[in-house]
Amino acid sequence: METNDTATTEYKPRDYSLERWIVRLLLLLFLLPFVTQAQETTTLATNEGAGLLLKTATPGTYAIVPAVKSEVRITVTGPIVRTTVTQTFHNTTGRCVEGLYVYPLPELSAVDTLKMTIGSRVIVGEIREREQARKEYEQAKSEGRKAALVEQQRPNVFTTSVSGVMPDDDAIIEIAYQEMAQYENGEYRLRFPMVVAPRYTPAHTLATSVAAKLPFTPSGSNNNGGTIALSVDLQPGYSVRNIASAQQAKSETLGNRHYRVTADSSTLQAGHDFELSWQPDLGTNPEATVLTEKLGEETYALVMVTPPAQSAVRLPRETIFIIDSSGSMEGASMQQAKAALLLALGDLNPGDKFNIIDFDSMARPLFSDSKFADASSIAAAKSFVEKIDADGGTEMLKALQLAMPEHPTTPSGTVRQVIFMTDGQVGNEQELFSFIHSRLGESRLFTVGIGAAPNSHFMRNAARFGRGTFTYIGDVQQVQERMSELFGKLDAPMMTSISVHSSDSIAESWPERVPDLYRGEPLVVAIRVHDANAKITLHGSIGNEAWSKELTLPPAGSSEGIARLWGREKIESLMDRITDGSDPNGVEAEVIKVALQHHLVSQYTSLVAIDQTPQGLNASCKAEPLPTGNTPDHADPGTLPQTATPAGLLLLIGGSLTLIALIALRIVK
Amino acid sequence: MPTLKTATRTLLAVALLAGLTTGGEGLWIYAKAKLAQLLLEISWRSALAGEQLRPWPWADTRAIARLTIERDGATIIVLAGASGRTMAFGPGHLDGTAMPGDIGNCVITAHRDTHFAPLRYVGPGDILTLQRPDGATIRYRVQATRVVPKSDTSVLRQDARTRLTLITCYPFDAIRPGTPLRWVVIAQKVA
Repeated sequence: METNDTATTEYKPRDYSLERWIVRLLLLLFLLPFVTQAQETTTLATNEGAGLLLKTATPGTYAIVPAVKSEVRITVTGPIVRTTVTQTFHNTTGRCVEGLYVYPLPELSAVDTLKMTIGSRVIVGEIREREQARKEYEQAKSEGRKAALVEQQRPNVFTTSVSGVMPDDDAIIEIAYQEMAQYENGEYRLRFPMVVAPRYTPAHTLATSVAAKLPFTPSGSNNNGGTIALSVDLQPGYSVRNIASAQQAKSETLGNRHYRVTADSSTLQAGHDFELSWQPDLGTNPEATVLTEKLGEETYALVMVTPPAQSAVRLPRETIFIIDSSGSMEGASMQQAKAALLLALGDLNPGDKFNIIDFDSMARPLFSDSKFADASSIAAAKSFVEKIDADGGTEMLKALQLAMPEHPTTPSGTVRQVIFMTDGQVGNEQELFSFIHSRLGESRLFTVGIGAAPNSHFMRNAARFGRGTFTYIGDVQQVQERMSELFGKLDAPMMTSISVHSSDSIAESWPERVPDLYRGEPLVVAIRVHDANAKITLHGSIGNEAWSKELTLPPAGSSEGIARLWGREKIESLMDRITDGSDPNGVEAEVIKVALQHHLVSQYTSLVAIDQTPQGLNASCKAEPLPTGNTPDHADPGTLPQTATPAGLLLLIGGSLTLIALIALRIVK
Repeated sequence: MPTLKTATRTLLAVALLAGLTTGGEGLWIYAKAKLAQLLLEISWRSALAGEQLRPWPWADTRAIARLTIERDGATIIVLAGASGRTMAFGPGHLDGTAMPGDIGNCVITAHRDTHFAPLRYVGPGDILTLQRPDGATIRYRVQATRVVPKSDTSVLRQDARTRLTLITCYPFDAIRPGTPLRWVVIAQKVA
């Protein structure tokens, strides 16, 4: 390129040539920012709108279709939230079409139920073992039957293919999934994303102003598109007060501890999530209730214990803080841990005892024995914390041995809480788990995960064995909020040493070790019994006093999701066994058994959509892609990460620019 | 026209400077990729010894595996997360995909012109190994290589097989960074 241009300078006036040079250089300089920006594209999107995406003539691009009608039915059983969404799409394109149904899911949940009605065809989702699912899918395909393998291709997005929708036919798609209600500051909360509403356009990736150009037009409706109806059947297991939603939903009481909330298109707005919150109406004593669901021969019971509003006696506390100052904590993690610890020290009650254990390759206690939190011991603690430096190894066991001695000197009736702040980077998880399991006694272990990527498997399970909770602190800004939340809760255990027994000897309950009951937060235990008339007995201690309650199982009502919750927890504890060293094949077989029985998608099972229409009635059609011209360009769902640097380009541009400038400078001389 | 000449010279000097800084920026990308791997190797050895040290004090990711391409013996430390920021230092493990050796599809992505440049010579039958922080080494045999559009997320699919999928941009020699194609290496665990 340079040689050509220098050649032209021989027979062209110099000034003119120079101008051309300058224009080129300026152009390059001007273009530079645009070219280098190309690297800043998106990685996998995690969440987007819901709807039917139709294939167009351009491969990989889709046109989005809004639903004509959406119906959302939510049932709340204790803290279990089960959502069923039914959406109707109408084909007004005048041709046979096929596409993808896309639905964004909440974190940690999976669609377990699917039913599609396309014209006269009915397609039902069934849970199969993964390999089996794949075989059936291949077989159905080879026989010319419609089948779709429904696998979650991306976290939190459900997709399934919808084929052979004839002109003027309706496609009705029904899915159901389950999650747990959020609990925060004394209230439960559920959220339904209003992306199912017709004109919602998410911030990225989905095309804008889609409605205007759509080949599928919502029939017989105004330009707002389809209708939506939402209802919540609330059976929390306790009386509630303050059922609140920002969408002015109507709420009514259906019976004892049974409520209903409804909302429709007139109050629901696209883009504004539907939110509902409720608070347990607490009495002066702890209360226990039970709800049941029947699945096959077994009865699944959800036992809930609600704490009293106020604790009768405040129990003395002993708090042991363990702080990890090993090398992996260096930097921001160490600062967060120290900040959290200083905050906790300021929160202690002078009548309570405390101690701090700092560990890396060794464990160093602040005091040889816990001391009362008076001014002088707090001052000693603060200077101890200031001096902590992150280096050395991670000998966690030594710290735990100090925190949970074989013969604790704590008087009975004292609440003993061990708060463990670490990034959890350990190699001997098993040894630690079994130590916690055998030595816990009356102590409770609360893990606080610190840093960019703490080992949450270790911390979640350590807290489970320790009958406590796991709190995650992602960055320094969250320290205050998260720690206050934790301490607010730890301050008031309402009942401890809770155990659940059943007259049915083969009953299996989750969690195996029941945590304590804290202020404002009901406790939940799921139990499977074979005998529907079994009695369930709860025992616990309030201070030094024993508490017990006997429950009879009520007949199964409209409660949904208890069996699935039990199944999901069962699978989780089975999967944990792999990490704990069990034979993966044995675990796999057990997981598959539970997943099939409870209709759950798991590591080893998936949902297959199988056409259940009798042969002969199978009035399908051959799909034609929509012309690309009048449809919005939509390359989704998701893209692979951007995997090239602009280094070569930058070098090329930089190099040529330098070379050109040098040559031009010489010419100008 | 002396004034025009001075102006031209100034402009050319500015262009020269722009050229040098742009080129420098390009070189820096390569240097960063190389240097980070040296520091990560040290961090990795500490992880194998039982306790992972941060590769550099302000690191916001951590090493999760060491990838070896047996064909040329190249070893690369793999980081958690496949963001552009992570990939400047090393290949990134895509969040939400299986961890090395676990059941499912372990997806690792890196830039075609730095860490994954050697992938262009990788083909079916080649052995890839992943070492985990606990020292365990998992061997994978390459089954196929494919070129897919970047919208083809089916290569991320999780199922019951234990697989390793490496993704980088395609074509390897393209000069523009924003290509719509990806080079995908699919490998299955060797029992």
